[in-house]
Formats: sequence, C-alpha cells, structure tokens
Amino acid sequence: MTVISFFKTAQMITKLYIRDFASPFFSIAFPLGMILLFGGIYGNEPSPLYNYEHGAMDVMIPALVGMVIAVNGIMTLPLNLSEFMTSKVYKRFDATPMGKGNIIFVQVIVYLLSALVSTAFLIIVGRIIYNVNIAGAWYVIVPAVLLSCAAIFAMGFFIAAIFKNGKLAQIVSYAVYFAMIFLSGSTMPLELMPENIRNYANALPLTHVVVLLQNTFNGQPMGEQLTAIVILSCIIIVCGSIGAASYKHRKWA
Amino acid sequence: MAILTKVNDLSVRYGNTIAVDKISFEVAPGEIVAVIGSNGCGKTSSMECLGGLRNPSGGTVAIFGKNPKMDRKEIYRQLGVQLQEASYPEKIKVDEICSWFSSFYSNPMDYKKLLNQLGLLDKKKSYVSKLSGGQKQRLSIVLAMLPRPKMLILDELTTGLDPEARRSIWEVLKIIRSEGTGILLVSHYMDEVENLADRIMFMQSGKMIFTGTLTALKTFANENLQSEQWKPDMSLEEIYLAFVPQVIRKEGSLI
Repeated sequence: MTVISFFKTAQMITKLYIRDFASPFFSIAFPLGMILLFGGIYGNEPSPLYNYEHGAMDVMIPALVGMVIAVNGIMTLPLNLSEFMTSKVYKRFDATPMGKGNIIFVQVIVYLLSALVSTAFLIIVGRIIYNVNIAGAWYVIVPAVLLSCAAIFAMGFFIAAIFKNGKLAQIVSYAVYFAMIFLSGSTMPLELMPENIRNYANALPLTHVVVLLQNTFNGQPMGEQLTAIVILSCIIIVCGSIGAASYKHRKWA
Repeated sequence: MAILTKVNDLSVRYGNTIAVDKISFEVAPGEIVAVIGSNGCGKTSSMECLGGLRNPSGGTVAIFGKNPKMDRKEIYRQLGVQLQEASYPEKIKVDEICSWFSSFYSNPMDYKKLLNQLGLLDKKKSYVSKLSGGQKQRLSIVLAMLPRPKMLILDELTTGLDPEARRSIWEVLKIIRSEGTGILLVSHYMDEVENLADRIMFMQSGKMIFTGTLTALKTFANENLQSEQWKPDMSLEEIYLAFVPQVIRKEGSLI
C-alpha cells in the first residue's frame, strides 16, 4: 500500500461512513442529544449520588465516550466488514494490488479516528456547556481511551470474523451493542440500577470501559484500575487472536 | 515473446465434486483466448485460480511467470480482472470508485477517457447502485483496464449489454490486443467469440475438450460429430450446441 492509496482509501471509507448516516448519527448526534437532555435535567452541580464530589455531567461525559467507542467498534466495524464480505466487495479489492487486508486495515483506522474525534467533540461540548471538570491528566486519559478502543474494536472484529452470514453478524452486533449501552452505565448511571442488574452489568466488557474512563477522567491514577485493565487486555488477546485466526483461515471474499 | 499465462494440469475440487479437471493452456501477448462452455463447467473456477482468488486443488498456474497466490500484489500491477461475481460499495459514485482504484497503480490509464470510450462519462456523478446492469458491467471493464494491463481476464464480459455496447467493447478489446495485451475471455456469446478470439477453449464438465482456432474447431467438429449433425457451413454456435447435448446425454441428464 502506497501513501497515496492509503489516503485515497481513507478518504473513500470516510465518505462511505458519512453517507451511511446511522454511524455518524449514533457517534455524534445521539450522544450530543444525550448530553443536552441529561444536562438539561440534572445540570452539573455536585450531586449527592456521587457524594457531592462530581456533577452528573462529570460522570456522564466519560460514560458517553464509552458509548461512542461502542458505536464505532461494535456496530460500524462489524456491520461494514460483513457487508463488504457478503456482497463480495473484498473479492474485487483482492483483484487489485491493494488487497482486502489493506482495505480492512484502513477501515479500522477510519472508525477508530471517528471514535476519537467523537470523544474530543463530547469533551469540548461538555466543557463549554456544562463546565465539565476533567481532573485526570491527559497522559492517563489517552491510554485509557486507547485501551478501551482496542478492546471494543477487537470484539467487533471478532463478531465480523466469526459469523459467516452477514445478516447474522448484523443481528449479533446489534444485540451486543444495545445490551451493552443500556446495561453498562454508558447511557444510564450504574448507581441508579438495582443491585442484581449491576451484577449482570459487571459481565459486560463495556461496563469496564465505562468504569475505566469515568475513573481516569475523574483523576484516579491508572494503577488503581487494574481490574478493568486486566479484563480489557484479556478481551484484546482472546477476541483479537480468534478474529485474526478466523481471518486467516476463512474465505472473506 | 514471453508467455503471459501458463496453466498446467489445473484442477479444482469442491468436496467430492471435480469442478476443473487437469486443464492446461497458455496465453501469449497480443492474443485473445476465449473460453466457452455451459454454466457450471468450471470456467469461473479456473479464472479465479488464475487471479489468485481461489486455491487450485492440483496443477500450476503462472501469470508473468509468477504464482498468482504468492505474488498477488506484483501480478496485479499489470493484470486487469473483471469478475463475474463481485460488487462495489453501494454508496459510492462512478468517478469516486474510478479515482480510488486508480490510486492503486503507479501509472493508471485516464479513467475519464475510459468512461468516455465506454459511454459512461455522463454517469460519472451517479451512484454505482443507481447504474443499470449493463452500465455496471461497463464500469467493471473500466476498472479492469485502469492498470494498463499486459494481461486481461474478463469473465462474461458483455453479459447484460445491448448489442451496440457489446460492439463498442469489442473495438476497445481489439485496440488493447493490438497493443500487445493478452486477453482471456469467458463468454456465452458465440458471435463475440467468433469476432474476437484467436483461439477457443471449449470446456465441458471441468475438462477441456478442445483448444485451438475456429478453423481447427470446425475440423474437430467434422471429425467428432455424427455425420447427420455435421454441416460444412456450421457456425460456432451450431457447433457448440451440437457438442453440448452429446456431453449432457453422456451424463444421463433428461436432454
């Protein structure tokens, strides 16, 4: 892959991403609506729910960052990969010097950048409208965001690689996505959920992403996030290696 | 001149089914070789092996002297392929996919000229999903020609095209051939094969039953058809139809 073909491919994948409508809507417009809705209801004054240490939006913003990572990693990535696979688009790229491997690589990069741009957008909007307090240092927050992206994107790649049928991959990714955004604390605070639901939420990878992001955004050191780091690292290793093995041995085009 | 494509004893199996059974052939520069045969006779499987898109079960394939599976990137710098079974992203425009594919090559052909030559220039701002079947087919040909190919593999090139479009594509192919490009053409249109092919490969049930010029095919037909079937002025289509039922009858079909 040359520099020219990389940037041209990135440009085209970005155009396709924007034209898809659902991905940019759920990645930018939907979380923005959530910020305005919950911010309008709760404001960002120190809340008794968080021992008067944080406002609702201080906790909501990192949770919504978890959601945009999930939108791009669990929805956009497997849906687009399986669509290109089942409609034999990858097969056509395999009949060029580019090959499907490079196309998939650029797709991952574009969706990852989309998650990071949406993250920056949420932080800026939160700061401007609700004066969200981000106590964590950038050198703690950035690795936490990248680790979260790696784990969630590995899950998305795993779904696309394992489920041969495009429709099935679509159903699984929607089921996993919606189960996670409603139960992981990314849209509704875990503190408001009943005890038994919270226990169930702990089994969801996105819950650990949300906890890691909330804690690091609120100034806790990375060293105190070992549980989330270990769980997310295991997801990267397991989903990444199974996905890669499936990619190698399965007919993608 | 060096042979562009060399295939030796190529076989493809799907489970217990033999789709391609030890076929061998070559394509030289400036030569159009047409592959004919009924649906499911192994033409597309063979073409996919040539393009490195399918693993052969046996035999060897070399394009420009290289293995298409191992040296895929290098081969595709000078190999153009139009696949029977492939598609493009739906929400992409014609000029966008052309410029995207152009970025894969160091010295691509001007896609606007190709679009113009194939009557697609006025569709350059249209979404690929909005094109008719024939227009999509013409777009496939534009994309196959972008690398200034030394070798072209065209699988059912003109299926879905109107007679005028087919003839304009024939003229394009004749120009490309005159520039030294070798072309392997899979076709169900016998007039197309008669008009374009320097040599014909006739496949049936995975086997190559004949390879040679149209004149040689007529001699072959004279020698192998029953006397009541043979006519001295038989067209390629008549020869094809005379052979196909024979083979099917042998396999115990209803025909």
